[in-house]
Parts: sequence; C-alpha cells; structure tokens
Amino acid sequence: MNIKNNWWKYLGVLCFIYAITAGLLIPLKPGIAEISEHSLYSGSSVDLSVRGYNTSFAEENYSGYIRLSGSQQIKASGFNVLDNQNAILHFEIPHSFEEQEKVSEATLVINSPLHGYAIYPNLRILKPETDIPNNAQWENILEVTEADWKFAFPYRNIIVETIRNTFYHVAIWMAMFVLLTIALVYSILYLRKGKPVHDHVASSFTYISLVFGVIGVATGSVWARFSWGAFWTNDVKLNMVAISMMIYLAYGILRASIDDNDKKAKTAAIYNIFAYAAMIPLIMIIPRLTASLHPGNGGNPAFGTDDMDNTLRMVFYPAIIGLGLIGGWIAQIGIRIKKIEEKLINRALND
Amino acid sequence: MDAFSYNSIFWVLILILSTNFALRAFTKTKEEESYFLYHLVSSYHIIFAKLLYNWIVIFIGGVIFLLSSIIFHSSLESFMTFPIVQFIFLLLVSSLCLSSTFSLPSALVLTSNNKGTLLGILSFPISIPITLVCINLGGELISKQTWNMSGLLLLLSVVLIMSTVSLFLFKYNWQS
Repeated sequence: MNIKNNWWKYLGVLCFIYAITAGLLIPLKPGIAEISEHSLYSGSSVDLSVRGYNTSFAEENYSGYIRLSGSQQIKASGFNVLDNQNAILHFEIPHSFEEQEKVSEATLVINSPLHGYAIYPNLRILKPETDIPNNAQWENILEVTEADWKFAFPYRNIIVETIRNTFYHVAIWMAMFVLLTIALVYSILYLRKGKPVHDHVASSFTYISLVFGVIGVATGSVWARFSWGAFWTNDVKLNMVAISMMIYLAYGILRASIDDNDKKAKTAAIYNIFAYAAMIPLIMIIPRLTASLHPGNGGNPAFGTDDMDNTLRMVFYPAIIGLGLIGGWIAQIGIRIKKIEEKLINRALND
Repeated sequence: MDAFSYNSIFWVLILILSTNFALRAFTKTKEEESYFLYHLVSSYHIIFAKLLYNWIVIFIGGVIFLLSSIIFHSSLESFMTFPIVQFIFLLLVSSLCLSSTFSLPSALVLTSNNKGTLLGILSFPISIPITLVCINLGGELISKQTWNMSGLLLLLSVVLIMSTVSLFLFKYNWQS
C-alpha cells in the first residue's frame, strides 16, 4: 500500500490502537469510594471509616482533612490504617466557625505526597441544639505542594472505571456526526451537480454512520447497565436516539424501494438532508430541555471542567479522529464497490 | 373516559389523520394537472400551497373531531372543565408542525410503488416525538391549565426547520 496516498488510514488505525491501549491500561487516580458517616456534628469527635479506591494507605504517608467551603480546614488527629483500601480517621470537630449555618457543606480530603488528592464532597456539618465547646480550632488552608503530575484518569463516584467508556461510546457518536455531516455535504453536492459519484459517497457514509450509531447505542447500553442498573432506561436521549436511528433506517428502505437509479439517488439525497435536519433537534435540543439521566443534559454541558479533564482529552480526541478515519476508510471501500458495480452494469449493457 | 386518556387518543388520531391527508394532497393530483402546474408556477408555490392545504385540512379535521366528541360525550363531567380554546390553539400549532413534516416525505414517496407504507416509514420517526410533545402539552393544559413554553417553542422550531428544508428541497423532487 502506498503510504503517501493512504497516510490517513495509517493515522486512523494508529489513533484507534492508541485509544484502545491507553484508554484501557492507564489507571484511575485514587479516590474515596465510601465513608461511614455523612453528617457530622460540630463540637463532637468522630471516627470516620474510609474506603478508598486505588489508594495505598499502608505504603504511604497519607493525611486527612475536612475542608469547609471557605478557606478553613482541620487535620485528622489520628489516621489508623487497616489495609491499603481501608482506614479509620479520627477528627475533633471544632464547636463553631464563622458563617456557620444549620447545615454546612464540607469536603473530605485525603492527601498523599506521591499520589495527590482524593476528595469526597458530600459531607455535611450540622449545628447541634446546644453548643459543646472544645479546644479544637479551624486552621487556615496552607499552600500545599502539588504531587508530581501523573498520567491517570480522574476518579468519579459511581462511574469509577466506566469513565473509560468516554473514549468509545462518546467518541463513536462524535465520529458518527462527522460522517453524517460528510454524507450531508455530498447529498447537497449531488443535488447541485448530479454526478453519480456523489450519491455513492453520500450513501456509503450514511450506511457506515448507521453502523456506528448501532455500536454507539450498544456501548452506551453496556455502560448504562453498570452505572444506571439497566440496559435500557426510559430516558429522553435514549428514546430520541432510537428514533433518529429509525429515521436513517428509513433511508435504507427508501433506497431499496425505488427501482430507477437516477430517481433513487435524487430522492435519497433529498431525504438525507431532510433526515439530518430532523435529527439535530431530536438529539441536540429535546434532551437538553428535559431532565435526563444522561451526562451532559438537563443544562450541564458534558465538556465542562467537571466532566472532562486534560488526561481524558488526551485519549478522547485521538479516539474521535481514529474512529472517524476508520469509518471513512470503510465508506471508501463501499464507494469502490459501487463504482465497480456500475462499471460492470455498463459493460453488460454495451455487450 | 377521563380527559387524560382522551388527550392521548386524540393526538394519536390526529397523527393518523394527518398521514392520510398529506398523502391525498399529492396522489389526488392527476399527472396532466401536475405537468400543467409545473409550467405555470414555481416549485416554491406548489410546496407552500400543499403545506398550507395540509395545515388547514388537519386543523379542521381535528376541530371537527374535538367538537363532536365533546358534544356527544357532554354527560362526562371531566369535559366541563376541558380547556377547549387552548386546546384548539395547540391544535393549530401542532397541525402546522405535522403538515410541515409530512409534506416533503409525501412528495418523495410518489415515485415509489407502495406509497402509504413508505410514507409511514419515512415520516413516523419524525412525527412520533411531535405527538409525544403534544400529549405532554395537552396533559398540562388539562391538569394545570398552563402552557409549557419550552414545548411550544420546540414545536415552533420544528415547524421552522422542517418547512425551510421542505421549501428548499422540493424544487429538486418536483423536476422529476
């Protein structure tokens, strides 16, 4: 194979292999999976038993803090390590602090010099009915030296290891949108110029993006089984995706049901543009208007800093490029098959 | 039958009604007639006229169905508080929405052999979400007497997108 003309195929395969290996092999950052108590009373002393994920309590010097939303924190006075994943932290919670309300939000932070932070945000500090004065004091947060940057994916509660699905499920949808857009452009070109090649390109790209869509639904469904508990939920986005898959299946049926080649190409091109225009509000707008379980809907964009970070992006973008190029490759083979078919038909007609 | 189940059945019926009407708008035109029209006016006028015709027909059909069902079931207590005027306004918007989604596919299926089935396949995926939104809007009208503005805007945006696409694309279909 000629490298000069086919460099994009190599690039696609390389990106895809990189996305598979890096996406599956790179570990997650340490995180806190579970703590024994979520509501703490100020002025009391508590033993928090903490279960970590990917942590190594026994091998390193960890220290624990409870941080308020302002700039105050307390350090754990005792850090009893049970094993690498389990530890019991002892906190003496001061009886009062500035701007104290009935319920104050706090964060549990576990810090190690080697692995960096692990945080657990859903901690509440309650004000008791009667004040219990004690000697403990909130201290100001000092500048903490950052741990050496390590290539690791962020830890998210509940999602945990399935965060890797970003590289496959989300990336394949993005690649699908790119391929569909290419199909749209060639459909418009066919209507303007009327060359049969443009129709071949449009139909090949539409078919391969339909396959990509089915794979996207399948990977999303497997992910949903682990994080939502069911393969298919009655979520808005899922239903809309099913409907837009039906729209593109109808494209195939439309092509199959018209005999005349010229008419078929024209009708298919018109319907393709129509389907694209119908799909955008279905997938992009309706799920954002309503509450949805799906990350990135109900108002919060999935590409904000809360959902993506730079380590994820380093695998996510190559995955999109790789999948898109591989899709383009498959579509190119489809175009070639159609060209050969056309040539054979023409030869048979001439004989 | 209570007002909520009536609401759902009503919108499903409107959906089926609009499929039939949209198909009739094109199949009832004779070939000589359309050839004559092709030379007389531009394609924009044709699709605009068909769209308008579908809108009016679906709307009138829906209103007749609504009024007759209310007249013949006047004994039902739930219809005493039925928001008829708001419902008719919703019908006005949704029939425009349905006619704009059905007009282009019904023109597309003319070239194929079994028109009815193909029209169903082509346009049902698009019209089902519209029907769902309409059922939600109607349900809110009945229960809370309020408009869900985002749903209404969604319908209007679908009208805008679909009618624009239809207006531009019909030209290519009309030539053949």
